Amino acid sequence: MKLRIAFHYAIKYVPFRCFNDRTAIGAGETEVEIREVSSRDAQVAFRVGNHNGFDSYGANDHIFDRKPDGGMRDVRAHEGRLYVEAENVEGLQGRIDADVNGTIFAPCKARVDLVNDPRHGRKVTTLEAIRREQREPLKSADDDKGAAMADSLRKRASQLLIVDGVIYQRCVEPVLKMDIQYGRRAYVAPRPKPDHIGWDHREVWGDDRDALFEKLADARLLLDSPLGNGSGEPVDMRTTFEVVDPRYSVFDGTAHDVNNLAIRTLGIMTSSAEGLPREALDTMYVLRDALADASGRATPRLINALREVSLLTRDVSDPQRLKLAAAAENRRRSIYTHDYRGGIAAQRAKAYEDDVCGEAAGTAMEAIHRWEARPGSGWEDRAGPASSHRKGTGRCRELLSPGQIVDACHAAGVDPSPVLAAASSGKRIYQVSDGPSHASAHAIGTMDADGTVVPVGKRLPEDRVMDLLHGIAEAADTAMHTAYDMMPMR
Amino acid sequence: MTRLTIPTLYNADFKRPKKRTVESVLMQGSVEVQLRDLDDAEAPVVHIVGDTYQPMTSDMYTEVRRHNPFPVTKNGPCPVRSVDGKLYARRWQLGDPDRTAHLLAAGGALDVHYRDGQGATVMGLRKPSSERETYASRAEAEAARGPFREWDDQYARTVAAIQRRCEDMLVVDGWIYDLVGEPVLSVQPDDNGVRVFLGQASPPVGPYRHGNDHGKTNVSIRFGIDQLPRALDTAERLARAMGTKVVNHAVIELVSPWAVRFRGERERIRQVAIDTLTWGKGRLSSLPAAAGLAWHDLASAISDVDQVNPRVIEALRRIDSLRRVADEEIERFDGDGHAGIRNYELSERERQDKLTLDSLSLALDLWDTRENRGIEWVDGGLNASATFEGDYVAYEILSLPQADRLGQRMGRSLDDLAADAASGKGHLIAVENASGIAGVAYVSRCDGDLEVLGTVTSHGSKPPQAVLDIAVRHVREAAVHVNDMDAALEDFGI
Repeated sequence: MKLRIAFHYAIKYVPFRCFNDRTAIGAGETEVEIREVSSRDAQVAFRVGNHNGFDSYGANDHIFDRKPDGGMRDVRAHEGRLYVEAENVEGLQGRIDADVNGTIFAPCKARVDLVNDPRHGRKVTTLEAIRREQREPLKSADDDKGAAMADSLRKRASQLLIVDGVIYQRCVEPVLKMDIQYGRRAYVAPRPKPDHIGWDHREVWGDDRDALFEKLADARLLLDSPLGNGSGEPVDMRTTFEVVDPRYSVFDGTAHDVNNLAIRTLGIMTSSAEGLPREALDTMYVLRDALADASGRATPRLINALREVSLLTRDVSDPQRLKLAAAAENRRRSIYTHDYRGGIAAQRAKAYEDDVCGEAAGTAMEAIHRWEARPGSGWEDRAGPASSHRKGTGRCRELLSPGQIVDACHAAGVDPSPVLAAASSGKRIYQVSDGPSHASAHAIGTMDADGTVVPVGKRLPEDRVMDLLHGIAEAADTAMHTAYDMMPMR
Repeated sequence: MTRLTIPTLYNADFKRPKKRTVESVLMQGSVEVQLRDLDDAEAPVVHIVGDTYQPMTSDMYTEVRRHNPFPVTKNGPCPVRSVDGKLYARRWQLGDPDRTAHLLAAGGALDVHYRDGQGATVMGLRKPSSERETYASRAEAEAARGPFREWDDQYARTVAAIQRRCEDMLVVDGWIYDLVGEPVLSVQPDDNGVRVFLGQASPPVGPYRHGNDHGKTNVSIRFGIDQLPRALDTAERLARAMGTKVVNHAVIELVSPWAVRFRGERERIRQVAIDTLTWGKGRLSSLPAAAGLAWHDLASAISDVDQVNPRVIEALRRIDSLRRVADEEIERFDGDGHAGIRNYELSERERQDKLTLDSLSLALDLWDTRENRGIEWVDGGLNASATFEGDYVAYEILSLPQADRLGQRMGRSLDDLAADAASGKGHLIAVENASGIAGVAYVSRCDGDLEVLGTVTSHGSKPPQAVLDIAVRHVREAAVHVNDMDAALEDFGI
């Protein structure tokens, strides 16, 4: 379907002898095309509908809401991508002509409000008009005649699909999101970003920090776990959903959440590391190293470390001693407040008062509950004590669940289905990446039971992939031996 | 007794009639002081030492005393006399009394220090630049400035302060001697090379100093006055590492070894322990696990009572050895040509860290090669930092200077008990609380049982039984630790 879109765009120029640039508004027009596919080529994968009227302000937070008439929204799969129902195509050209910002093209911001409004004074103009108005020649001018805006609109149109007279917009996989801090609200939300984007320093921002995620196909497990309805505080269910085609429900929520909670646990401990008791400090290091090895996944080693943390309590043999030592230190420090110790005894006493160990243990316990509510379709038990490896800028890790494999295959530009088939036939799957973390190149490798390594995916040189894959096999081997050597000597 | 009349200036506050504002005038007066006269036998010369480094004119007495307490003058190095365990250094020749008094007053020798409170500021004869006129009496001041309603001068306080200051001085053989701390050799790297000079173990007076080292970062490595070869050796070693030369300012003519009580290794270890704690503090979460735990042990060992004990040494050794391993690994990395860990220049902070860790190795080396028999007995110390009970804290005394300081605080001598403890037969335990030292007990093992064989308190009588119990408990629990370790070693067949 072809559409004509009139738009505004920015003309930038610097007047004679001026330093700062100025912006004027130019006008343009372009034609975009939205693909039309039959409903057979775009089958329904999910039906979702969040109840209206809850407060959430993210850009994509309302794409899975119920329709204005109360109906559920279809999510269709076409050529391996998901599209969610947006609006009816009927009268679209008229709506675009009236106000393009009120339509499906709103993200492009193709129109400036209040232009040509006599009360406001902003007018559509051209570079020629500006040149005429200025007495002196312009120092510089930047006018692309609206090419960038037209490009942006065309790109937006390429993300849209028309099926049976309804426009669908591209979306990522819808998953169940459950707040754990504020009243256990559960609703359908876009899945968090795949972790290979920030493999090195994975950070979860905003609302997602205090939430748990699970793919819709296995959402029931999370809802019924001790973190959901089992907590004594029932889940506030603000959505209805239906999984029509479970092949598209792959997100590995367990790994995401366990990692997220482990990072939080470690954060609680490191922020008062100086005040921790010795055993807790020791456990902190165990957790830190396990988390580094997990690199975005949930491994048995990470779970064991979390179990160790969950056993910590603030009970020390002699809490009174902490107070007395802090008081004695305070006496000794007298007027020298810049003293080196910064009150180490005082910090210990405070960590005891604040019950840092208990807090960390509680968060670790949440992570373990989350782990126990996992769907059980992964191969986590295969991972040994060392299941990731890095050398220079190259990184390599074993993939432990179908969700991780699908994410990694998308990153490497490989079709996931043969890799998934290989995994279920007993082969071990590895993700290899190289380069800086924000722009890594990825590849997939498989390993037979006898250690034969086959690289799949073409985005990395083959010898580099082989090098890293042999590296991880070696690392796993040495870790097996050193695991016994490094038993704690107490 | 030598009598002197010392001219001095002081402030007086007044109010004018019907005015509320306080104004002040500068007054001029004089103070009668008496200096003790002693003869050679009462105040024997124990050291004759000097420092050839004279950074400024001798007029600014305060500065000279702070920077160069034992100057070499035209009369040669500075004799140091001992009276009742305190040391006095030669300062001024006693000639014409008026001239001597003027010298004391004008040179700032009578400045009152923080120790004596700041109620009275002794100005000597140094006039504040804002003041022009001085007056001898209230009447004279009123004649110049009009009638006063109220009058409050600081004469009495000035007299008290100057007289108290003069108690620190003696007259022997026609020279005035002034109280000093024990002379020590300091080795300190600076811009011109590695300087070897004379300092005081702990200055008896000083602004904002209570005579202890709390809060002071000590950058120099210090040695007892009888250890010149060792000091020069260390200075050579530092100079070689830094690529500079040694500058020796110390002149030592006579040293009485029996009067030397200072050894620098303990202080050095304490200083590097502080530096290491500061170094590790912000980076505990990124250290290797073993180093982090060693840091934790170091913090535990030194934060209870601020002193060096066997646990501190053990923790520092672990950090040092781990650090050597880490350095080797980094070098191996570089050899492989991997993307640079050390391929860039060290930042300021990293340079500072490297300095901290280098001085840690040096301090441990000095500790291992020390000869401190009778002055310090950390090696035979208990494997414990402190025992807390009620509001009491018990800890072990491990060196003669520490015993001296506690003895001074109690007004008693701990020399006999300290000598016993130094011989390794028992442990000298101090028990103190917020109000002061409750007592010092010498605890020894007799027939397998711990017994208190001697006590010292400030009031002279026996300390309460509770205090003795804590001292014994401190020794017993530390001994249990040692036994545990022995048992564990036996299990391994060692």
